[in-house]
Amino acid sequence: MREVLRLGVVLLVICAVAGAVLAVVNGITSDRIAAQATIRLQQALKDVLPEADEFRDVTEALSFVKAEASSGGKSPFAIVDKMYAGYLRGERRGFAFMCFPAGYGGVIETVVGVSSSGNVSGVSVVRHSETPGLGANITGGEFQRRFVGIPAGTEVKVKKDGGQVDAITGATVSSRAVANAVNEALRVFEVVSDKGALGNEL
Amino acid sequence: MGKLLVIFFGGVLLNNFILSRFLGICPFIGISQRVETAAGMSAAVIFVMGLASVVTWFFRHMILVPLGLEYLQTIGFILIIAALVQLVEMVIQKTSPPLYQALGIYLPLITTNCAVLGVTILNVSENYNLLEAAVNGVAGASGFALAILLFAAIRERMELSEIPESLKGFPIALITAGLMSMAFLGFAGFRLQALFGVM
Amino acid sequence: MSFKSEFSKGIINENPTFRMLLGMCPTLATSLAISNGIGMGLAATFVLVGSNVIISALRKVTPEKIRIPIFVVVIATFVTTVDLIMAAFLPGLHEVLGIFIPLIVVNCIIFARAEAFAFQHGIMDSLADGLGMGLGWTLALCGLSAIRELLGTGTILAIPDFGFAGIRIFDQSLAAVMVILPPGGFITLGLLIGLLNWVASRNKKRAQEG
Repeated sequence: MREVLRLGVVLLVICAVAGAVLAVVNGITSDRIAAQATIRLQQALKDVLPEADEFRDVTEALSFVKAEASSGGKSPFAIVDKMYAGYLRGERRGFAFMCFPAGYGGVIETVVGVSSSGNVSGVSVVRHSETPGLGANITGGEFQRRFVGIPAGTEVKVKKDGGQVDAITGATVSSRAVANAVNEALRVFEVVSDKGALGNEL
Repeated sequence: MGKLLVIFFGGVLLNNFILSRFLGICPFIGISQRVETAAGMSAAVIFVMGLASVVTWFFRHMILVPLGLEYLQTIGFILIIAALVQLVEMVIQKTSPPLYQALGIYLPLITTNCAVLGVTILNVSENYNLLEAAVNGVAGASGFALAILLFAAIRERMELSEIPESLKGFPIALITAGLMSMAFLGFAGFRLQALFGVM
Repeated sequence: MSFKSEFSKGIINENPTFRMLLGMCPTLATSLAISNGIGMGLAATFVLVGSNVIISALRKVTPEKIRIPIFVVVIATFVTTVDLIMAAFLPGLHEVLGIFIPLIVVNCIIFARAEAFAFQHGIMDSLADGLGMGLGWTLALCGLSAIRELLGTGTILAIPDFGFAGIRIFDQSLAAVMVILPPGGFITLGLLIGLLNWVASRNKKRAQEG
């Protein structure tokens, strides 16, 4: 019995020390880890909507669009998760959409920017788990620029599916996912800009 | 339902734990000389991975998240898995001696099988709910089982073949696994989401 | 044994990847680019050195019966530390290595060194052992990564974290993408170990003849 007690105490002490050490490390790093996510998001927003320098989270409007468009148990725009309005000196220059399309290795966190003129202004992949060397090339600027300039009202697809965008060789699934995100973002943009009143409120 | 099927078939075929995610390579190479032993190991892994997925899910959502202790995840999960393996071993030993005879020697090896810890961390990063986590655990382990059984069968045959001296043993095993992995890449063509109507 | 010999054995004679065949999962999964190899290798080296030193320091007060859970707690503490620090300061690399950072906990190299070496040796020897094994693993990982990065993408030394696309050796269209896909990992490592075996046996033969 005393033996068991002794073992228990030793283990407890070691666990307590380990816990304390980790609490300290966590205290030092947690702010920075949280800040990293914000920094990356801000960077991505600027990348996709270079005209704007200030962004506001207007996801409320997105929820409104989603609620309005849903019918018969279908929830459209499901992959569009967040919406931001981009401003330059107080004037709105466009929107950016955070989308989560399903890729080959999991969801691909994609930010799509649409300028006020109604064209895709940029695409950026924030996070993904696609195959290195193949699907992972969706993070490349060369691929992302293929979407720039596509006007709202167009159905965005990869060429293999009868669309206009060249998919990355050997990575159709990943390319298709990004195209899907751009397509959905444009559709949300259309709804938002159609509703003049809603657009002004933002 | 559709999503569960996607998770299951994804885990077994598309993202096979061994052949595409590289989780659980040590037992895959180490315990695959005989089909029989591979089957024993597989059964033990399926059981433990399913159970670990469920238990760590509760641990995370009932203890770590409410207390804001997410940073203790790694340490907590590995201790849970180690304790779980011990517990399973004792229970099986008491209740079913024949099963213990069959699985007993594999159980302690499972603690350091990175597929087990791997699946519990994947459940967290994919944000799965309880049911999805459990399915993912069983699916990952089934993928492991499929790969190790096929591999063991190939290795039994390979013993009869002439292999260059320097490739004997480990190197040829790796090359064979590479060829299997290539075959499994073929499953990438399946569009599971479309197949099961989930988007 | 001296500090120097404890250190150098891990790099060549008892290299954890090529000689002892340990820690295969992260070796195969993260050897896609040299920068990954270095990151993963150094992360594991930090854990290995830290856990070796602590386990060696505690070996007199660690009861034999519960040594395994104690090893696990010590190793997991170091792993979480590395995990958090990398997430804070090297987010890109942290993302790429992903699940394989927490999985250092179950890396057989670290466990094997704790059990087979640190628990029986002094602090300085354990430190040397950890450094040697860690660097040996890092070198093996970098070697494998270099081959896969070059053949698979045609570039070398790409460091995405610093926006450096790497040095292009030959055109992308000539690259064998299969090499950085999972099958390429298995096959490249298999052939590399086979090659080292062949060199070793040839050297042995020469030594006997000479």
